[in-house]
Amino acid sequence: MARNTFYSRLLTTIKEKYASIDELKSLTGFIGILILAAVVTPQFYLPQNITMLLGQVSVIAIAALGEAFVILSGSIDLSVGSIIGLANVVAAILIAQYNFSPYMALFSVMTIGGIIGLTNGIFVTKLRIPSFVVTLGTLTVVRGIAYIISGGLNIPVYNEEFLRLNEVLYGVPIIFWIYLIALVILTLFFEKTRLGLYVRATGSNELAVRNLGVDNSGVKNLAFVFSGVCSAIAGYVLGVRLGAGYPHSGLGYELDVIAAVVVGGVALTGGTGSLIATAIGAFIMTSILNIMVLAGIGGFMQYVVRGIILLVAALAMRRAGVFVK
Amino acid sequence: MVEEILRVEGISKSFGAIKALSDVSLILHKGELLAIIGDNGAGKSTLLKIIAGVYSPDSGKIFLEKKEVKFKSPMDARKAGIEMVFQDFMLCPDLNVTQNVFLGREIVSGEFLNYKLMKKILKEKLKDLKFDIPSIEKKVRFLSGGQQQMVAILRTLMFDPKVLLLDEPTANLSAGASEQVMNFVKQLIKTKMIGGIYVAHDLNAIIRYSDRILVMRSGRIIAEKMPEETNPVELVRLMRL
Ligand SMILES: Nc1ncnc2c1ncn2[C@@H]1O[C@H](COP(=O)(O)OP(=O)(O)OP(=O)(O)O)[C@@H](O)[C@H]1O
Ligand SMILES: [Mg+2]
Repeated sequence: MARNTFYSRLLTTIKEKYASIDELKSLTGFIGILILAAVVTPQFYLPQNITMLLGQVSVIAIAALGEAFVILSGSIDLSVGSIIGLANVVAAILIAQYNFSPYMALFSVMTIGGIIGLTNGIFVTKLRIPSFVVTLGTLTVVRGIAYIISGGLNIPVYNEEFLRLNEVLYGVPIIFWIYLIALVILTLFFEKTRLGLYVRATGSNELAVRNLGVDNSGVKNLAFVFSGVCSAIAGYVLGVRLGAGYPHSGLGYELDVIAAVVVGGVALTGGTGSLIATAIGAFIMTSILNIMVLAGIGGFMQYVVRGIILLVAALAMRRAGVFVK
Repeated sequence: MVEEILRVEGISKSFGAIKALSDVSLILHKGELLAIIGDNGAGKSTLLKIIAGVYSPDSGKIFLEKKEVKFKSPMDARKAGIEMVFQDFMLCPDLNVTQNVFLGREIVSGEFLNYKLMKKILKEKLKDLKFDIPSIEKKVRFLSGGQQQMVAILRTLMFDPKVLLLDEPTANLSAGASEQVMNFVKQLIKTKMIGGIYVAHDLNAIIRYSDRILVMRSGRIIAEKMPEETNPVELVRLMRL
């Protein structure tokens, strides 16, 4: 009897710990996928494949960092795919046609992304329009701008310094290093600073945060700015991979980015989750794609599988009580 | 005569067509626990929230230690020494106890949050209070209703308040825990000579703990009673009249 209660209490403690550490659920899922890969497609573990995977994951993972801030703060940003496209095009034009150095071009598109993010934020906080609607609007407008300034044409970039970012350093693509740097800086910000804490607090209970005198409009604006800047970096990185600016690049990426965030275990209702969890989510989504390609599963089927994964992740979180506020 | 700590003069507040408060005035003295009672929707929470800087009044003035104050945000009020326990707790379920207690008032070293110091201070406070909170690193989501309420109360006691506003602070607490909380609050008010306003529906507790009772009805203060001169039956009649 005493043993029984001891074990049941231990079990409860473990369950609570499991539910309270944001990364554990998605990490379990990712380990499951790694085991699946070992069994079904061992080529997954070839160094060339791992390097390729890291390159593939970078674009989505960088954009997901910013999206995670927005979702954690209780909103959503649908404009990320379009910002990726615009940043891709603008960076290509600045470098190819205006002789910008790659770094000046990066800085420029980050600024543009930040301004678009701030615009999203102001519509949400000042004009009180739901973020879903606001960013659906900017999704369309920003994509339109990408088409207009490129004239709908592809812009090849021959700048060597720019293309060199596509190389591999210590077995890891440079663009993935860029992602890691962003991940470390933003995780420090999110976990260790006041504003980072307020992002989570705002998503958890916006009214409480306001009633305690914290400027939660500022916090929301900041999250949207982060999202815009991260998407711009993602678009720039996509340009490195493509060696060009394509006005339709990043089309539909908002879904992949949001899926990465949600599969990572960040609740769409805000407040729960972390950037590390988001990173795991991006890896889960990209690895599955990679495994399906290796297993020879066709492109149409891939859509179905990815959608099912998203639904399973949502179900897992619902059962953990993450969606219950 | 005891000195006043807070004075409210002619406060009115409407929400659209609803007149929540009309011309409310009151004085709170140092070392006094003032109770406000009234039916649901009488305007009690609205009055406390105006004092706490959550809403700004349509008209009227607030004086803290005889100086007029105009709060633009709840943070102004908190900085001036006014702390409130909200009727619906106002906790963030995804933050842990320490983060909730210090929310808006975090301790930082340089740019980074100093959780070590915050936990240390909180632990010391908990020893004083003898609150039954399982772990200060637990997310508030995993606490019981009563424990959540204790976290909300704890938050107001951390920063040496001058005025404590308690909106149904013990509604979710067990009889024993309520008594413990109210005795602590009462003692704090007497020893530190601060002021407290206490809203509750438990009339026996009101009579037992408060120094003075104001009765509100439809946004107005309609009666003032001393606890030793009244009883629950009379108070109910006044609230409902
Ligand atoms: N934010 C708000 N927006 C609109 N109306 C409000 C708001 N807050 C309060 N009211 C209205 O003002 C009136 C007074 O509400 P208040 O919450 O102050 O009552 P109360 O005395 O605290 O009631 P209870 O005992 O139920 O807590 C009610 O009619 C309420 O509907
Ligand atoms: Mg109330």
